[in-house]
Amino acid sequence: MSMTKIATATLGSDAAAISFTSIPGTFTDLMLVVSARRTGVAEAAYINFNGSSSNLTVRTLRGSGSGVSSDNRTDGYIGEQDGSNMTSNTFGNAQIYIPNYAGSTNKSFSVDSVMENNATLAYQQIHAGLWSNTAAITSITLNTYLGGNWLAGSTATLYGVTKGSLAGVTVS
Amino acid sequence: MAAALVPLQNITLSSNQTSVTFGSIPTSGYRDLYLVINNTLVSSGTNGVMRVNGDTGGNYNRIQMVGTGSSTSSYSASGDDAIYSWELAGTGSRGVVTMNFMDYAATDKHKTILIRSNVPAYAVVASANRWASTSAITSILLTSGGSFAAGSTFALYGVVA
Repeated sequence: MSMTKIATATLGSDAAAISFTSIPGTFTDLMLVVSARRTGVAEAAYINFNGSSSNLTVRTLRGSGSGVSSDNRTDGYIGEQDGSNMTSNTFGNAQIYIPNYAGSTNKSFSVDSVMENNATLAYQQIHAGLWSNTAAITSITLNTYLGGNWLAGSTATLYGVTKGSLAGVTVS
Repeated sequence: MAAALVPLQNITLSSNQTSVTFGSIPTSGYRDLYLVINNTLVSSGTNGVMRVNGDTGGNYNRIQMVGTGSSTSSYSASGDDAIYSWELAGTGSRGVVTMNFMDYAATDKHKTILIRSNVPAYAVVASANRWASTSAITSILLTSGGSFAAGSTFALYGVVA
């Protein structure tokens, strides 16, 4: 099997962060799937690696239901997440793919996220991220804007993806 | 538990290379293909070029949206001789591209290829592409206007239905 669940974090109570630590370096890539909601109003969510929020850059493309915009940021922004001012019982979602997370090059990552809402204002976003650090990723933390909390029931699952080869398939 | 994502082949370039080709892709056992590229180009960033089954005819169609951080745009094209709707990171940067080849082995439909390109130094791109052929995909050629730098990685997976 080339896609293995490493861990699932499910918040039993409101919490400031969702974290994965001691990530083994035995896979090729990481995939993180998130379903989350803030206790406060909908706001930005951020990712950081190995406890560091430095050396992160993100280029974004966002559709809001009534317009489109693009930003260039120097943080680990992964999109807006649902909050108390959005449709109740509705969680935002994100998928983050990190290739070669344990390698010795800078770490680029891909993000697709959505802030769900049964109204005009909702966000669908894609992001190109880069952590300019050659260290292997051993921990991942998801935070919200200005230190707000994630709502109990928010979940995130971390998968390891392993490359390989199948007899007969060629590459050159 | 049966595997849902099966590794088919991969390569890490030991030297600069102008193209990468996956061949002899099986046409049974999988519903979709998933391709991951993590790369740097030797030169500046540029469009990627992708062809399937060596087809150089005007059989590729696309629609894409682009965010550069300061502007947004959308493009469409039909009758191209390759898929050009993806971006690659240039010298000094590193990017990730993912491609989903939907129903790649079906012989009763054209092929949809969804691509996400992430070049933090330049742009984020999403595109939907169609290869106007009912042939099963058995090979994928990846190239660009430059050369893939040593250390770039390419990994192909089969997705089991």
